[in-house]
Amino acid sequence: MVSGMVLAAGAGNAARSAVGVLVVVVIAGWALMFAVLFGMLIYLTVLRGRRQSRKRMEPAPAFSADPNLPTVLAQARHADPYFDEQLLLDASQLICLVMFAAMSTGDEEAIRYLVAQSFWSTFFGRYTRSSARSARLQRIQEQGSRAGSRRQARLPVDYQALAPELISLDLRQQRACIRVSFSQLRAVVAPGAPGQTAMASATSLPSLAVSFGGAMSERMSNSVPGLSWLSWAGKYDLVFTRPPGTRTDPRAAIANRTCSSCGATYRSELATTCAHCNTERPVAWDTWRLADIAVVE
Amino acid sequence: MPADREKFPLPERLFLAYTAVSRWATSGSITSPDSLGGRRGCANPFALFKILLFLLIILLLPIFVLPMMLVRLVESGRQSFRYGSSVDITAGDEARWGHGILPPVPGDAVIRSGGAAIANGDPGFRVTALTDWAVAATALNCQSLVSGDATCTRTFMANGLYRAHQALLELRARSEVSCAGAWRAVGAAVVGVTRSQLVEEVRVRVHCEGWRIERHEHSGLTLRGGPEVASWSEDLTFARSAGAVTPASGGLPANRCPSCGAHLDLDPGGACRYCRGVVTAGNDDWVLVSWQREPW
Repeated sequence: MVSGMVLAAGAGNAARSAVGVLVVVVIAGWALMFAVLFGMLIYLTVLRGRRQSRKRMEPAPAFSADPNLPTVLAQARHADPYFDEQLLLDASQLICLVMFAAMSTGDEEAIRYLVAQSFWSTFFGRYTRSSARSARLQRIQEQGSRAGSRRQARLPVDYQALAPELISLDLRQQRACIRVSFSQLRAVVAPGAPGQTAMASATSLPSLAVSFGGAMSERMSNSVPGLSWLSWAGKYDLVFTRPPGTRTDPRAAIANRTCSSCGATYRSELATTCAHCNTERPVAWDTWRLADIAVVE
Repeated sequence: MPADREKFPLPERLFLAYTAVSRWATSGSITSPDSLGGRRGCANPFALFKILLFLLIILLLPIFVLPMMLVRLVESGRQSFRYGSSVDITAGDEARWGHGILPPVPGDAVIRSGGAAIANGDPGFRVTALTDWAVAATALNCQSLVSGDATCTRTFMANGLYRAHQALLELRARSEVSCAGAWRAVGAAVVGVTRSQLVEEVRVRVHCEGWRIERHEHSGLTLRGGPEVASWSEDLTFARSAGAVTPASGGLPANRCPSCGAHLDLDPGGACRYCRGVVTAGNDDWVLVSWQREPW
């Protein structure tokens, strides 16, 4: 009987210790989560605010295209008779839109097909992949919700771009740089949408705190979905590369319009395979792939 | 790959498991009985279990969310914050009304001298050919937005713009964003002429009148516009390679192939069905390379 009481007391102590450990883990978890979340938001907000004030103080210098471009292009055509810079300009227009698609809907397939492997280790590569994954996670969560109860959506509404411009070309290194300037607009439909979008663009700690509070209170009160907007505009240099020693295949641009296997016309610009026979679609700009994106300050 | 079959990394699978359990715990109303005559609310042991489970998973939230947050933080790195802060993101009304602001118009003298410089190298160049074309293109742009099909814009859009426009329409259709409306161009004027070593560009500002409305079909929300008649401007920028001259047939603005002069009939790749020349690349004739709409 005595040993039974000792065992029971031991079990009670063990249970109390386990609960104690769990409480410590939970409290530490909450503290760490808030520290990471707010640390990230504060760091990003401060950096964004600093950059904006710097931009106001000293406007960015204008960069211009390589003055030797006509000569370089003539040399390029001599070395590669079917080289056409227009294909790269076309590529840059579609790629920016396809990145917008990946970030809005989570569908990464089209962008994967147009970029070099090295692109994924650049900032924009990581940013695109992370945004696309978040969009897919959100989609899965919505698919699991009760029918008709989908209350959150990020909608790709508009995309406008200026004409792209060839900035530099180096055929020895098989590298071309195209400048693009675009603005994309997304509608956010969700309870507390204005607060959510304001958090994404906050440039000071007070504005961050106000928007965070607003978004949380709307969500907690389970109010009806609101509408807000997010836009991303900027000027970027897209760097395209292709393997050394490559020459342009003049059939590539045509092969991209109809399936070489079954002859069907591709109806979708976002498709990477033939809808009829599933054969992989060739890229219109042959072996050129997007390798990097740099912000033009 | 369909999202539901995708294998996410372990931290994200943990997060998905968490949301699935929380969704289950909050499914159904706890104030209604399980069956006819059944007990309501906390008197129902099953509902009570769900409430306790819900409270427990809220308490354990960091255990499920933290791994995903930390992995993403490590993946992105410090440098990403610097880049991230340099991306110009705006929100709310500022985003809506800042998207698509048309650039200011330079003085008349600048526009005239730019036009004269192009006409110097190309005696067949007529500004009115481009402004008339811009008016005709506006009707087809309207048709493409309302129908969700870019095919009708194939005859004047450059290959890159056409593909991007088609992709945007697909993207909107997938997200159930629709556009209804009827509008037309009531005037057009050249507002910019630029020449570089490689290209010549002419920007035409078109004044439109009509109505348009953009809706999210799933939620029934009106995103932009309304049924009232309004007026707005759009900029259409036409470009061609430096050194190209207006074809004798009048080229694309006259609905003729700039290469063989035949009546314009293009395949989906922008090639003439008669001579097989790709005429929408901008090498031989003007093509639309940019289309900007005023905020609305």
